[in-house]
Amino acid sequence: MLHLDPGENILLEVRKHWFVFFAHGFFLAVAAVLPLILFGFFEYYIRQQFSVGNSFEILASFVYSLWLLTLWISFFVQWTNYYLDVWYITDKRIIDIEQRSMFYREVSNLRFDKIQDVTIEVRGILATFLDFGNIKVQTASENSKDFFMSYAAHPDRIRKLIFEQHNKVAERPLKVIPHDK
Amino acid sequence: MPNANSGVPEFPFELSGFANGGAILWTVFALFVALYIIVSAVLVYHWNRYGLGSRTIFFAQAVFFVVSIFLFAGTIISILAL
Repeated sequence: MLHLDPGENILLEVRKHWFVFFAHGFFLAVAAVLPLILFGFFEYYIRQQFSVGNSFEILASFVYSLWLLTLWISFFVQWTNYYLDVWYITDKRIIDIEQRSMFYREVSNLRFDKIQDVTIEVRGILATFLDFGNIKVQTASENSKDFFMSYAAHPDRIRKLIFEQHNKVAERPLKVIPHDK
Repeated sequence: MPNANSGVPEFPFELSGFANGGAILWTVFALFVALYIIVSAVLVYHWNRYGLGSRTIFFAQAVFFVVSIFLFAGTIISILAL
């Protein structure tokens, strides 16, 4: 669950680039097709060696259906980890939700006035053309840890937004609380 | 075991050859369904609790279950064909 302060608005959701998830999906797609290719080879061999009835195909289709279901579930487990691993940039702070696995989740907050620097790193041809990279938000406080996201989508846009919000907070006049005499 | 007519050995997984062939597949299927229900419950819990009611989560949920139904149907058809 995400708890926002009253009047706090989410300005941007930051996730890893879709290409990261596409790479996972691609391996699953290969794993889905591979048994069909293997079946093609083995079927020829088995028909040469054995007297094969109808049940060989039935057994193969049964096992293949279960294999596809396993891959389908695995795909959605990975997608859920990908989708729920997110930074919410609000008008007051950055909320870093790290979904490391299904049962391992960390939530941290960082107020804009605690930010010291934002570094982005876009390395490689794919990262340059698809616009993703690593982003690191360094904090001024010794007690807070730095925020880091690898393969973040549109890192430059994120850095600009964080600086804009940081400047707004810095320019905001300090509230003077009058003391009772 | 060699085939009486041709002398070619029979494939060792001739499920129709023994009476419990269907029962074995149904048992494997039932175990898989139980596993699917557990994992789906975990996924749905995460989607509903942490998904902030987003449209993407709703769409993903629908795709997950609709495609699962088709894949389960394929599995059941395989067993019934035995």
